[in-house]
Parts: sequence; structure tokens; C-alpha cells
Amino acid sequence: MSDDVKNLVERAKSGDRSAASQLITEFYERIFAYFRRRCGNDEDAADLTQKTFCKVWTSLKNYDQRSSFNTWLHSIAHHVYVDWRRVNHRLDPQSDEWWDACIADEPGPFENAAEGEAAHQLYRAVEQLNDEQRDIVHLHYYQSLSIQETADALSIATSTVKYRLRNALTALQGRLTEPKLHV
Amino acid sequence: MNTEAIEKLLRKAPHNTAPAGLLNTLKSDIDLPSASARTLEHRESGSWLRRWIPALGFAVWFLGCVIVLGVQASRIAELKERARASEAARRASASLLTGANETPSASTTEIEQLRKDLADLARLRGEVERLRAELAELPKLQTENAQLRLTLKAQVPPGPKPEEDYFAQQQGRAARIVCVNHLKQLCLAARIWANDSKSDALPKNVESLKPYLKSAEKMLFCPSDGTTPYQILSPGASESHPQVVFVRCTIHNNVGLVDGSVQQLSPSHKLVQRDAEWFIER
Repeated sequence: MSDDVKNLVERAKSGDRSAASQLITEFYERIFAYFRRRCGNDEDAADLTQKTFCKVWTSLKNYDQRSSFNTWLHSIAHHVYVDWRRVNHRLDPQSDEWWDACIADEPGPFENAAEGEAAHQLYRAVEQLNDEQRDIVHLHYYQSLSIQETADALSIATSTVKYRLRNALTALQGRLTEPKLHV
Repeated sequence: MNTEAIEKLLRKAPHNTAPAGLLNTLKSDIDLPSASARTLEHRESGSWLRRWIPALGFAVWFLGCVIVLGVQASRIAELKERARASEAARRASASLLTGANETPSASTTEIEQLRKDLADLARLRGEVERLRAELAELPKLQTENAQLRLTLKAQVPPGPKPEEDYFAQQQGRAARIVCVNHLKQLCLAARIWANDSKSDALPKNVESLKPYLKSAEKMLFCPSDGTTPYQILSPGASESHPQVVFVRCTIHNNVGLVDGSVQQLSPSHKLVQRDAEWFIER
């Protein structure tokens, strides 16, 4: 965690609203993107983002900075998402159409159309993984958390994270070698 | 596609931009701990109360039960105490009543006892009179009893005649044999006495024979009745006359000769005296 974020957290703990505003500015887009990928629509993602930050302010006095603020924030976001899925019975992953629309809306960082097509297939394949592997892929790759941060966010061991990542990559590789079945 | 390429593509996942008003909404929703401390405490206190309501309710109910039980127990103890007091009072009154009636009751009992004793005494006197009357009648009864016995004895059928009674005959025969034995003992004793006297004359009385007889009290009497003594017919008879009768049984008519033999005389035999000595003749 950078010193700036630490400083902002300390100030927010002491009741500094401007520091809290700066923390929101720093992290809200990542949290929103996380929820947007997982929920599938802007409204639910915005609601969950609000709920996440409400929990952040409520639990901020208990935050002891043993992990980074980003990790702690993603841990809260993950639990908010799990609760939301359980309450709303959203147990099905995102559909292929959603990822098609998502990628079509974005200009995309892909170098060519072939890479874009491969990414398209890959993201659809990720949604077909089981819950544990999908959580790992979302946090580690999509949210750019390290192995340790992912483990802290999910409250599991790093070895478990590595194991699930390896299984997820193997599964994705297997699914991408038979693309016709998923088109 | 290898894993590196997969990881590379995954890291390039698209990021959706947040809605325009979200940032302002989030900033307006900021509720920092310091500002919301009181609200949180209030909320926590409310949740604490909600959490402990069942336990508090149970505690209140339990306390109420304990109080009710305590009140009931004290009430029961009080009632028991009253019951004990009333029981003691009842016993005291009963003892007082018993003490008041004790003297008349005792005198009545004593009179009753005296009356009973008097009745017993009269009854015993009557009994004594009756026994005396029976005692006076006793000689008369004894006389009647003797007469009845005699009558009864007279009514008893006569037994067999002595000559027809087999057992009597056998008994008489056995007595005669024993008598023969006695006479033989007496003759033997007489001969021993003569030998000891260094003479050929037999003794003149039975007293001389007693030292030579084992049981002289029996040997000198006939066993038929035990009282009839043997008769020495020829006292001082000489051994040189062996056919002389020395001693005789008057019951069985048995005779012991000087030579020591004994004969059972039949009615056809007679004893004849010659020169102060007795002999057997037919």
C-alpha cells in the first residue's frame, strides 16, 4: 500500500471526509468494474458499489492495515457480491451475449481482430468455470491483484490460490482448443 | 493457445466506466466512524437489546417463578406451623378432659373389679360344696365299684382247667426239672460235706449244706412257689447205703438218694422207712 493511501485511510478514520472522498476517487472505478463484470448491468454494479463503500466506512475503525486497503476493499466487495448473489438467487454466470455486448461496446486493447476474437472466446470460457476458479480469475487477472492479495481477499491460502489458478488456466486452455463447441 | 497468452488476454479484460453520477453519490454517502459513532453505538445498543430480549424475558419469567415458589413455600410453612399449634392445643385440651374424668372412672373400675372378685368367690364356694358332696359319695362309689368288679369277674367265662392248660403243664414240668436240679445239687453238697468231714455219714441238717451251695436261698426251696423247703428224710445217712433217700420235695415228689442220684417218683412209688432210713418201693 502506498503511503498516500495509508495516510488517506488514517485521516478517514479520524473523520476526514476529504480523505474519504479521495479514497473513493481512487478506488471506485475498479470496484464498479468488478461488479459490472460480475453482475452484468450498471444499476446493480452501482448499487453494490455504494453498498461496498458503506460497509467500508462502517468497518473502517476495525481496519488494522495488516493487508493493503485495496485488498481489504476487494474482500468487502467480494462478500457484498456473494451476499447479493445469494439474496437475488443469481447463481448463473454471465451469458455469452453479455460478453459480446461488453466487448463490442469497448474499443478494446487488442492488437487485431484475431486477438479480439480469441479474447472473446476466452472471456466466455471464464464464465463457464466453476465459482471458485471464476473468483480467482476475476480478482487476480481482471482486478490485477497479486497472488497474496487475492488470497487475503478470499481468506484462503496462497497455495490454494495458485492451485485454483493452475486449474483454471488448464480448464481455459482445454476449452479454447475446442472452440467450435462453444461458438 | 498457451497459458502465457491466456494470462495476457485475461489481464487485458475490458474495464467498464462508471456512471457519471456514481462518484458524487458515493461521496455524499460517506459516513465516517467518528461522525457516526453515536449512531452506531445507538444501533449497537438497540441490537444488543434485541439480542438479549429472549434471555431477559426468560430471566424475568424464571425470577417470577422463583418468587412465586418462595411465597408459596413460606405460606405452606406458615400453614404447617399453624397446624402444629392447633394440634398441640387439641392434645392439651384432650389431656385436660382426661384428667378431669380420671377419678370417677378409676373408682368405677375398682367397684367393677370387686364385683367380679365377689362373683368369682361365690362361684368357688359353690365348687367347693359340690366337691365335698362328691367326696362323701366316694366310699359308696368304691363299694359299688368293688361289687361291679366282682360281678364282672363272675361274668368272665372260666379259663381252661389246669390239666388242660398246655402252658401250665409246661410250666409245671419245667419247675419239676429245676427241682430235680436242686435236689442233685443238695445231694452233691452233702457228699462233699461228708468227704470234707472225713466220714461216710451225710449231714443231719440243711445248715451244714449252705457253705457248699452257690445260692443257698434258692437251692433249699422248691422253685414251684419258692417257699417250700426240701425235707431231709434220712439225716446222717451213711454212704455205704446208696439206695437210701436222703432228701425229698413234697410238692413234686422228687427224691435225692445218698449216692447222689435223683428220681421223680410216680404215684405208684412209695417211700418206706426202715431203721430210721427211707427207701423207695413199688
